[in-house]
Amino acid sequence: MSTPPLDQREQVRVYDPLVRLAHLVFIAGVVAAWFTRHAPGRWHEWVGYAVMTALALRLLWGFVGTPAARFLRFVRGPRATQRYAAELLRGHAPRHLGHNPLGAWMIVALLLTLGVIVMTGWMFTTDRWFGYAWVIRSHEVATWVLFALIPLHVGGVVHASRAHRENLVAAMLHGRKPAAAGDDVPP
Amino acid sequence: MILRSVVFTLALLAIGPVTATGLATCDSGDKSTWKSMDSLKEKLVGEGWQVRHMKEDGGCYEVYAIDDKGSKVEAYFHPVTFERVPTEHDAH
Repeated sequence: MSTPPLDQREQVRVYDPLVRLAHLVFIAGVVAAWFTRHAPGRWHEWVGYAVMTALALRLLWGFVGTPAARFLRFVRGPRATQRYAAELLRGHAPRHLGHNPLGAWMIVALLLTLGVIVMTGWMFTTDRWFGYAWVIRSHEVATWVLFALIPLHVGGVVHASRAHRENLVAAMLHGRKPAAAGDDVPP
Repeated sequence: MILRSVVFTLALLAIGPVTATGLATCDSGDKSTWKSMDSLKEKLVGEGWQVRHMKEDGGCYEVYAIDDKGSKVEAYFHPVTFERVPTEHDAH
């Protein structure tokens, strides 16, 4: 059975508006937070609250949202993830309509790291936790971890886009991807 | 796309060390003339401050504390005179 090429398939909605909007808020928020980190006034804080809100909604959505948004659907165990990584190295990883198993763990890592950053940032605004060196340090270290993860995340997206000849960056913006066929894995 | 992201990330990283993080600088001369950080802490605690963290920054002592009025402050002090050095943040 031959599967039709991607450009001849029906476009289906994979990523819902909340997933896409949260993703945009994370990108804009990280950039804005970086540039306001020493700014006078409370700009950095407000950026943090925006990211915190998007993160809380995204985490909740990861349990009650559409299929491609749900953690329990796209996060796979170590064995399945290893198998996917091996297939990827051999150059024939299956096309996943939602996040692939490696991408899934990257998302978990990115969201957790963002969580540590907004959490320690928020702590700094409270009388209880303000000023402690370890709070500042955790905020900084988590930021460097995030900056290490982001290029890997982008690299993974670019690699998967090339391997399957589809633009995943655009898919995360408009939410649509060519429908699953053949060995493709639906969300 | 990937190149742009890499360049962007490197640009972000590059800005880090270049940007001055200090809110103030002190013309405080040779360090041998400085009074100790501990004695500043003692003085501030005596004035009712809750000192959370201290470090050197821009030739000043930088202090994170809850001050005697209960406000969160990131304050700068001259290491010789222990005089408070105003920062841009103090205005807010």
